[in-house]
Amino acid sequence: MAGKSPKTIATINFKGGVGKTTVTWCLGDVVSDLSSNRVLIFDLDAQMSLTQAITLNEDTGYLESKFAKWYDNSIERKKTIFDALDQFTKPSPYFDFGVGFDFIYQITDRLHFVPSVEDLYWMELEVFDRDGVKDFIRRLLGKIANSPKLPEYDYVLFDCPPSFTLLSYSVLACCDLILIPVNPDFFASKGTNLILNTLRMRIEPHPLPHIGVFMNKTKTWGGAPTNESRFYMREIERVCTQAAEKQQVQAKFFKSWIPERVGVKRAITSGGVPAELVDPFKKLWKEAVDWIA
Amino acid sequence: MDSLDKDSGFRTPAEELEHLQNELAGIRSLLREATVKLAQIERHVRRAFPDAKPTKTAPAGKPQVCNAGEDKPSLVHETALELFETLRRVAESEGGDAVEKRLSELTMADVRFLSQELGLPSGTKLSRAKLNSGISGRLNESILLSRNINVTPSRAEQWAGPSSIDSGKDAGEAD
Repeated sequence: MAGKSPKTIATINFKGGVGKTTVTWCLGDVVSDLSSNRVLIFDLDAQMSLTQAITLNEDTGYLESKFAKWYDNSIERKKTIFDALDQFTKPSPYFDFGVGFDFIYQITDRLHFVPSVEDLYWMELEVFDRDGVKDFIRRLLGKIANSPKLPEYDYVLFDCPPSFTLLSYSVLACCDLILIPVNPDFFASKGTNLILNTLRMRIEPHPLPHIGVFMNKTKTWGGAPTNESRFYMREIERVCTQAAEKQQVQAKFFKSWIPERVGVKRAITSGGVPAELVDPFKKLWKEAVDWIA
Repeated sequence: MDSLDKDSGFRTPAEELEHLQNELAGIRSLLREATVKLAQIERHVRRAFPDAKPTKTAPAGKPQVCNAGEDKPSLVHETALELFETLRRVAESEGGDAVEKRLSELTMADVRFLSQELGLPSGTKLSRAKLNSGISGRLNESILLSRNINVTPSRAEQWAGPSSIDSGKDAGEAD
């Protein structure tokens, strides 16, 4: 492997239920399936929504045995993301953790996956050297990029938890783009202001990554956003513009939007991204990649 | 979609078609694998060419609002948004009463149109008070969405010293 650094994109919002997991999955699915890019997705949420969704297969109603066996093996051999972090925080001059396909699961040829584990729930209590954790993801990505056992990834996507954990800190301190999905309602929009105006002080002295905000679960009428959705789009764009001026953050409200579809929740467990959502996700991806180009 | 595909690195429809033909040629070898693969390809086609099959589309245009018995609004989309921005500034600088006063100067048709543009219910049975209340709610949301109060100084401010932080309480506690 040539050791080319992949572009890294973290999906985050401190508000739960805005669609972080689904968006991360759909982007990874569309990009890996409809382009020649190779994508690696990390599930960093202790709630394990993405991991469980990949485990489940609604087509058969049974657990997808291939992943389930691989996952059990990964836990048994201490090759989970938690074990990697545990190794990283040990008082040792080296980060002694080998990365291969016992750590990374191959969903398809071009879509690979690092699952979450429940132990991440208690990580905050067990890690004492908090500042030491901030370089964890950067070092782990370096190992992945330089591993001869692994292919060269073009993009790494992180599904972050709806809170500022040590792992999210570690991701945000090194990623190229923070992708913030919002929804057309007041509470789901309020979190944007919080992130844009306070993230800098939490990440300092690391440089703040580019931030892209977009409307997810957009309510539509006749194929276009409703006036209510447009109201929240204008307001969030205002928040982004103000934060860019006052906080000097590279924040942008994307013109792309993802319509609300009930079926999208089943995208991960069966059938992939619905056909009518492929184009919206392609447009969102193009805008995101252009923003960090 | 073509220009999007070319610009973004996604495959063009022609490349997509070639890709699918290659996939189809490969599945002839193993029958069992072919069954699975074919299902994947069918799905792929549906996703790569969403316009290829007729889809149900919702009726175009915006919901009609019955304005029977009312004058036509003088506002259009752009002027309604400008009015909202003006009302927002009034709300911030002069408060809710001033907003109410401004709204009372508008015709009922304009208030209804503004409500509609803000995504609020705007049916003809709604009273002026309810419409005004909805608009005021949107103004409050807009102001709150942009408001941010940080009690914790940033690390940069902490390094710069405590001059920007009110130290009255600390001094009292130290005593």
